[in-house]
Formats: sequence, C-alpha cells, structure tokens
Amino acid sequence: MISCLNQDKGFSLVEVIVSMLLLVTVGGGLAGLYFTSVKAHEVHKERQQALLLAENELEQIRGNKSIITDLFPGHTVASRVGNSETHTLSGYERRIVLEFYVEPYALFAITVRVEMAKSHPLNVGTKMIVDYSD
Amino acid sequence: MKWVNQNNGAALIFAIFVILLLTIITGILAGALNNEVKLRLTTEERAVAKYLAEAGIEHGMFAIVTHPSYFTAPSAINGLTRTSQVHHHQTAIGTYQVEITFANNKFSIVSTGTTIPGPGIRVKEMKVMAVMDYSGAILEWKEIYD
Repeated sequence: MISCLNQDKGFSLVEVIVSMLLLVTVGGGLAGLYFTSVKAHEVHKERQQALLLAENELEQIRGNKSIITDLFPGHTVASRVGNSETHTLSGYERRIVLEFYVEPYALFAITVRVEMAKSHPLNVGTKMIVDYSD
Repeated sequence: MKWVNQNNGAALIFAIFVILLLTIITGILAGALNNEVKLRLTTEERAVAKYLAEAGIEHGMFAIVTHPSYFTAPSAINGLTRTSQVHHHQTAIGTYQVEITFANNKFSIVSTGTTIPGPGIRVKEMKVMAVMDYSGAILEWKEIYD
C-alpha cells in the first residue's frame, strides 16, 4: 500500500477523460431526475388542491340544494330545461345544467373546471336530483 | 501475476464501480417518482370516475321516481337501464351506465362511471351501488370493487 502511494505513477489522461465522461453522464441523469421529481411534486400538489376544491364545490351543492333552487326557482324550472348557469369564481368555473324535469323532480348536471398554472385543467362532474315538492 | 501489481486502468474500474452505484440509486429514485406519478393519476381518475358513477345513481333515481309505473306497478321498472355523458361545456368528462333492479319492494341501482381519456387523465372505471326503498328513502350507498 505504502509502495503504491510512494510511486509517482498517476492515472493516464485517457483514463481520466473516460471516467469523467461516464461520471458526468450519470451525474447529469441524476440531476435531471431530481428536477423532474421536483416538478412532478409541484404538479401533484397543484392537482391535489384542485381536486379538493372541485370536490368541496360539488359536495357543497349536494348538501345545500337551495344553491340550485335559487338559480332555478320552482316557478320557472319547467320552462328552463336545457338551460345552464355558469359561475366563474376564483380559479375555477362551476356550471349547473337543468337536463330533465318531470314535475316535481328535476335532474341537474353539475360540473366544475379548475384551471391550473402548471398542468392541464381538471374537470369533475356529477348529477343531482332535486325534488321541488319539498 | 504481473498485472496485479500494476495500476493501469484503476481509474476506469473505480469509475465503473461508482457509476454502477449511481445507476442503482437513479433506478430506485426513478421507480419512486414513477410510483408517485401513478398514485397521483389514480387518485384523480378514481375521484372523477366515482362522481360519474354517482351521477348515474342520481339519474337512476330520477328514472325510477318519474317512471309512469312507479306508483302502480313498480316491478315494471325492473331491468331499466340508462346511459349518458357528463360534459363541462364541450369537454366530455366521462360516461355512466345504470342498471335498475326491483326486488322485495326495493330498487337496486348499479352505476358504472367511466372517465374519457384526455390530457393528464386515463380511462378509469368506478362502480357505485345504491338501494332505495319504495318510499324513496336511500337504504344503502356504496362503492363496489370487482
């Protein structure tokens, strides 16, 4: 070991160049992976927040039918089949469409579109039956 | 044995060893990243598909309570199906298929929601079942996993 350290023979230039090239290639790949991971995490966080926002909006309407009956009052609902109400709120758009009405029941489609800065918009939608005789 | 005592090519061997190590670490990290992306996609698609399936349940309930035979001969509703889509303006979010069965004075509504593939979303199916009694009360509402 000592004799190895004492000798003045080093690595050849070709060896060092090849080694450096391989290290740079793998190191570059690792760095790329790191940045991809950071970006994926940011997108994931944004989409998770968007999903929560859309779910909250849909559940709020489901739990409070007056949001719908205020937009489509009982005395106008029969004549408004096919009509929609679109509301643009901070960062998202909510749309309520009256699809069918057979007195006293109406079927509404409720959709939410959340715009995102780092990825594609998220669209979530469901339907809800509303009993106007209540 | 002469080659053992010389150190020509040692840097290359060392570099290959380090690269092997880095490749293993990169592979593990890439696998973890891939899992995170898949998990994110699945969570989102499941939520969208579940809301589509629930849209089908609501449509099924609407079909039952507005059926002309609901009060007179509810058994006529047995086997009723409904298929529809959910859109946000022109963007199709997904479809649902509903099957209604009537037995023991109870309506069983099974709905399958399917997402339509688009940017950042793949095809995903979710099934929801609801049981409604003759008075219109919901007795059961659950997700079904095949």
